[in-house]
Amino acid sequence: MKKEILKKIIELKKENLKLARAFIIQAKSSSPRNTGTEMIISEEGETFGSIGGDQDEKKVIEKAMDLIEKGKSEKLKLTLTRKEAAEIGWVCGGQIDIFIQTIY
Amino acid sequence: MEDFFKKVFDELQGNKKILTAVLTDIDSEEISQNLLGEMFLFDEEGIIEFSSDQLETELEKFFLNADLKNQILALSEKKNKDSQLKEINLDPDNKLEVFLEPVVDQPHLTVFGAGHIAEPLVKICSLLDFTITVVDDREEFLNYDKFPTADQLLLLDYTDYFASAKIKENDYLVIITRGHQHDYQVLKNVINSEAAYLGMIGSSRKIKTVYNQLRDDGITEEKLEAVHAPIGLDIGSETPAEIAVAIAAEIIAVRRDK
Repeated sequence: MKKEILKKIIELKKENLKLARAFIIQAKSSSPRNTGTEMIISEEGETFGSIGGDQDEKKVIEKAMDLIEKGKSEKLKLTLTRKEAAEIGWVCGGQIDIFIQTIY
Repeated sequence: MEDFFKKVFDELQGNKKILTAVLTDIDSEEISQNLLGEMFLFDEEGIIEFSSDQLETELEKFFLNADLKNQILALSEKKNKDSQLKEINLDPDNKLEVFLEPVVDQPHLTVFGAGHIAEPLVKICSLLDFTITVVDDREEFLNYDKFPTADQLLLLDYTDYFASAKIKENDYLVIITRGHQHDYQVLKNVINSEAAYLGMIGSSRKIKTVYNQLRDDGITEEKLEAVHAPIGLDIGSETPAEIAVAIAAEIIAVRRDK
């Protein structure tokens, strides 16, 4: 967890917002440096940081807002096509596992 | 959970190496599934804080088991510098999958001396996810036209810089000032710091002179050996840009424990 993300969480919690933190916990057929990449999503759909990839990020944000409402944390598995993978700088397609942690 | 994150933040200010673990999977009959996403904070001495009382209560009885303590201590070892998934065996029937994350400030590069090597070095290192500060006492060398990707340019005498700077373990320091007296002055100020990387440019003759001065100041051989001098990997660099590549490569190697 990066200090900037930590600061952001504390700042948003001060405003009494419900949040989720999404982070890549496993990335198959890619460079390991993607693991740990994280972003914050607020109950209003505001985001901070990025996990890369427009399409995927949309899915993550939607899922996160849903989980914030339910007050649950869950894993999300995404399969990337070759083209989607290329957009976020990966050599080939593959699967990424993201964990969405609701911060109540 | 708010208090938990505040605690993490406070511990980070303390300059210690700290990690968090998030429960990402629970393979257990005895641990509630609603604890997914809960966390605990720990360091090399053990657990500092749980994100909820329920987590602490439910894990409590497993902590009587010495092997579990050892497993958690093993997670804080130096090689676990990067975020990763790990399994914790509470006992033969109960397993947790946790995502382990060191809590870090982004690595920070400080370049002492804004001369001809600093320019390409700052460009390259900003591609490597470093935040970057350049320090020099010469105004004409220090501007954002020369260093468009630097985060901070400090126009200061080196001694003034050290009056307020605090070097931490995710700091990478490159000493490339305009002369060996300045290099000596900077190195003397940082050689006993926690910096992850400390490199100084110079011919072997200059390095010897600086080291002898430092020996007179009471600096130990062990500290001198830890300095990367001559700086950079030996790839036969000649131009400033080539030297910058060699320095950046050495910094990567240190960061990745190679």
